[in-house]
Amino acid sequence: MEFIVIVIVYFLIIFFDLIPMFKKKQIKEAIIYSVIIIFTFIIITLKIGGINVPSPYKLIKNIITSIT
Amino acid sequence: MPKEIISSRQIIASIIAFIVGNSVILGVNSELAQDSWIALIIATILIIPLILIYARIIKLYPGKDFCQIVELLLGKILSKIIIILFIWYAMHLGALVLKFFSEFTKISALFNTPEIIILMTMTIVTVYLSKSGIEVLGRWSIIVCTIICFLLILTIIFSIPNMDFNNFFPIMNHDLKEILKSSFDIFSFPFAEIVLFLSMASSYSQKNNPYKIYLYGCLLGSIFLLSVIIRNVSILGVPLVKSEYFPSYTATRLINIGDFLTRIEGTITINFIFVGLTKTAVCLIAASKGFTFLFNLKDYKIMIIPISLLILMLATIMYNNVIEMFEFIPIYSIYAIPFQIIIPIIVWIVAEIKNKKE
Amino acid sequence: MIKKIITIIYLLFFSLLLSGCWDYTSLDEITIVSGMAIDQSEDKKGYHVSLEIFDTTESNKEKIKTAIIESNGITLFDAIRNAKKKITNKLYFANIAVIIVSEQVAKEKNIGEIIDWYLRDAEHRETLSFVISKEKTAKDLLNTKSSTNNAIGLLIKEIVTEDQTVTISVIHNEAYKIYNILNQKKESLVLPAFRVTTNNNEKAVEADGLAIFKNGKLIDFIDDDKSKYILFANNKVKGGILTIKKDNNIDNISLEITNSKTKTSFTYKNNQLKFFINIKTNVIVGEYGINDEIPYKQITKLEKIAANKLNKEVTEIIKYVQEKYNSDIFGFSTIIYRKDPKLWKKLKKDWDKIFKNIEVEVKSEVKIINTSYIK
Repeated sequence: MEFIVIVIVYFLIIFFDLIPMFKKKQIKEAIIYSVIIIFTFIIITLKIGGINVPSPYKLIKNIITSIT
Repeated sequence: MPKEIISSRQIIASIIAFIVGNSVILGVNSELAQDSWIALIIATILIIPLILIYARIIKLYPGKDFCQIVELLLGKILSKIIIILFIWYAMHLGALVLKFFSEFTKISALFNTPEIIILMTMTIVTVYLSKSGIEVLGRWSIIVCTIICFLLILTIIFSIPNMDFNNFFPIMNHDLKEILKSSFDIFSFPFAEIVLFLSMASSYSQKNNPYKIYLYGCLLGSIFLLSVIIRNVSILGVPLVKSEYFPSYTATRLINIGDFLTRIEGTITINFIFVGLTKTAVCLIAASKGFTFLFNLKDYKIMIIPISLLILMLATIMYNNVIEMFEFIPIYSIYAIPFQIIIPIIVWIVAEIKNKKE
Repeated sequence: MIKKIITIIYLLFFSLLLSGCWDYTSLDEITIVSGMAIDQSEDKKGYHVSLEIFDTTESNKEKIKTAIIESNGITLFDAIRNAKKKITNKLYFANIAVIIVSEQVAKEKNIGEIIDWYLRDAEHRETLSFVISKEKTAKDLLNTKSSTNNAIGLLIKEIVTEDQTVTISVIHNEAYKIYNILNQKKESLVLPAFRVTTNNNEKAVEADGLAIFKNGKLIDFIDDDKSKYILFANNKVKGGILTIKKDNNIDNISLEITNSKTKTSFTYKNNQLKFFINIKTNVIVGEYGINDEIPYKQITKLEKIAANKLNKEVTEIIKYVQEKYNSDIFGFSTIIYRKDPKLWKKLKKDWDKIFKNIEVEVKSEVKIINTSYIK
């Protein structure tokens, strides 16, 4: 159910922002944009699906506690 | 990129909204309970030299953003590294705020709604707010600031029958080390996060006095937080204020004037939605500006949506449950030192040296 | 054209997303609970819970009808969820007014467990009242009728809330205050006790004194006529009636209290704790007993009689609680902690022994400010 919502939102973002960027030939921005979109889409989908994505929190916590 | 100017009153209002941010629901760091007001006062004293440094950086390079200042001072490669760290800090903070508000909503009101939906709705509104630009953010801050001050005064007046000042005794029961640690926690969360406002420095008009702006903003925010502490501890008492996740929310739940004015905690949640949006919007703008500098793009507004997605993603993966989130707060004060203190001080020292040379 | 369609989808989608309907529960999907009674279950292992709900099927404009749902469970939360096996809608606790705990449960289980469950749930409001039932089960209190209010839960709450200003027989402790008292040094909890009496051939609830706790468990009850003086010692009197006698054998003069303030202080000399309780009360003569004007000289005499009575009764009840129950319901431990935390640290370990030996000196001052409407 949530997945459908995510897909719709991403679709809307791509349609309204990404396509016009390609049309206006802003290639550099478009590439960075697409990379981020794909990256976040994969991770959010994984998280919704229940797969345990490693969180940077544990890393930070270990670093800090080892210093103090 | 068209120039966006905001007046000093708007900046002060947004600083106040930023500082007050989480305390509307979270209360201020309640580890010390009856002595937390002492920690707050010490934290306010500690923050003053830091914000003077921030203001000085702006004064030396008026009309320039933090990213441009760093590039001028430290050269291309070093500045890019520093800006990457800065972006990470802004995104992390935005994710923290977002996650916190979504957890609160989930625990107290919408338990069945999946968390991603709550996060997404807040993100959408924040994106709209940020995309509208810094001017709109400034005008919005004034409205937010007025509303939150009004609601705070209202809740304090209505809570007077519930207040019991005996809850503040015995004073100074904790040893100095605990008090200092707690002050340092308050110092870094929420005060020193003002470092993010440096990224919007190009919008401060030339005649504004950055020292005045930052000092007023922090002092007024501190008075606000002090009233919140006094209200919470006097109503709830020491054991409860320590064990509650959301002391401010509980304190407003107890308000009961003549059996008629009850259950106003729903109105108070308006408060936290406003400040949550403002805080996340500032983090979003700061991160977007950093990104545009990193990749030499023209306008930061293009990057707002992708950065918001990154923040959303961070918010979903950061913590597995609320306990981890609250556990992070004492660690946060140490983790944030490089971003809040070290980087600005380095920038300031280099700026002063370069200034002396000319 | 496509852009228009997609914009419309966009708007519709966001209006759906931003209006919070995922968690929408309408009024006909919830069962509103007004009171809850906690008993021990028959097998003595779990809880037996009786919930008083508003019966919304009979939509009668004049009377609110209530029904009682019973349910069993191993833990408290379990028992409440099991109630769903009997009713159509989920229970809605945001309006609950009172939780009645039976004597048995209060004696055997720690009240802290019930408070813990209660405060954890976000829907619950911290202003809930807790009372103890003197009857065999807590459910008996819910099975009564009242001429003023059909919902017994609301009725009990009203009785308890107004008590400080009208009848001064119970101490009202809301859920959050109970949590604080249980976690605060060695102060002991005290809760209102209720019983069932007959009123016009029907069963009705009545507030009947206080229930004394120690370490979160119930130990005994204190009767109605003595509980008033515990309120005096705790600075909880805001109204009420004080009866005294002048020349008769029985009390025939009523003094109506307008306000009262009790200040408690202590000294610690030669390893002996001495507490000073200073009561200042303003009263109005409400009933003089004989149909006569009250001469001016009598006023001071009446004040003296009332003050002496207060002194005597308060000292007696404190001594009684000290010796019989050894339970600090007067908050002496908290007072010491607040004024002198170092002293408290020293006394903390032996508090049980020390409390028994505390000397208490009561000094009261009663002022008659007027004699009501006639002289």
